[in-house]
Amino acid sequence: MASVCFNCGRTLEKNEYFVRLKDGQCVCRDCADRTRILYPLRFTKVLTESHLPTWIGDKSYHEQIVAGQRLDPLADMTPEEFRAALEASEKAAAEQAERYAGAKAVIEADHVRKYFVNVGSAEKPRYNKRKVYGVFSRVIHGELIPGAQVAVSHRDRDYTAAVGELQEWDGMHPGGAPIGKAEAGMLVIMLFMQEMDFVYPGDTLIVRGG
Amino acid sequence: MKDVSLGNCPICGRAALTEYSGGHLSGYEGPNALRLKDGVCLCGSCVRRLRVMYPLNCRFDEAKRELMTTDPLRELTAEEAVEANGQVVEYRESLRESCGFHNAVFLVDAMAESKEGLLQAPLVSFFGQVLYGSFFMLEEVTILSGGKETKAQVVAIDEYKYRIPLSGLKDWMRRTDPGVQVGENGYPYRLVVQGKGISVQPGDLIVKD
Repeated sequence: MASVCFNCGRTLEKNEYFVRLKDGQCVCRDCADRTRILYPLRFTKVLTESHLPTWIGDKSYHEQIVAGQRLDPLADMTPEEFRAALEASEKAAAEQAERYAGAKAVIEADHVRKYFVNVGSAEKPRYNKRKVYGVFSRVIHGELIPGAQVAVSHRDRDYTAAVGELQEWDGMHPGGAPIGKAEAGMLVIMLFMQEMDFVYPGDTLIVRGG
Repeated sequence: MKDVSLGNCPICGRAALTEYSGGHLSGYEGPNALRLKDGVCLCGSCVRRLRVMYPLNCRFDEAKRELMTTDPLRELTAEEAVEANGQVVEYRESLRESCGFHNAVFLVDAMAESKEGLLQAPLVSFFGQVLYGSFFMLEEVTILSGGKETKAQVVAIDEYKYRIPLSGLKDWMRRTDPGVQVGENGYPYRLVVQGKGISVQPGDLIVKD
């Protein structure tokens, strides 16, 4: 049976990401993302048991391993608590909009990485001259979409670049699943098809409104 | 499941995590979480941001022939770290201005050269520290020395612990996974370029525009 988002009433598609609240009701991704400004996902490491057993003779046991874990604060909420969280988040988003008047989105850069495109083999790598740079960052206001023009101001001059692709980021690994948009509070990787030497840790990138 | 993070970062609120191995150069998960003077841990992202203001103090011990480092960030309390976080962008911009607004600057401490084959240009290793910005492999840099500008391509970036010239590029140096071949601000590195007639003095700069 198809699940329905209890907040907006939308029927969730098969394999679509959703959050299950404490009482078992579902919240779609769009509704959940609206609360991320106050309730961001927590990426941490946990001590857990391995999935596959280790066998010694005819006896088996599960090893203790440290694994990455994504914890969603919404999963501990009741529907009433979620509605209150949504209201508080919308209020916080309005306050941010006032603070960054005229900006569609504001992003805080964490660090920059260069991606190399290997056009040879693993044994004999040959690198393409394509310039692919990833800016690992956190959205602090608004909604970021691929194709947006981000601008960063430095003391010498202003720089702009167009976001080529957006990916989810878990705060640790240098890659993630592509996403269509990112809301305030989310960690993202912005891929650019140009050099991004002018972005430094802690920089504020702004997508100006039309 | 038991959470094994070192608590929440006082600046950004994210979980402070330790890296699995290899210090900052293994890079996959960013710099390590760092324990401050009062026992609170900063997350790797905030350590990276503050590092431009608090670079590692490096001193080459001639007797041991080894680079000794101390970390000034460990001397801060959580309150001081939060305060420093508010000043870091202004500090970096002042630093950029004093260095002529280059995109990234590497301060050379020493250099070593190794001869390659008969018709090959030597590999020149520059030992020093990144003042600000990031250096990546296969990028063009400018060596500023004695009023001269020399263009060169970075062929490898390695950890700086000893001042040993690099003889031949090793297989692992060709790895280009994001986070492996990168030189980040505040940390000591060995930057390797290939070229003839390159000479620098301690205190010279390698810049990227």
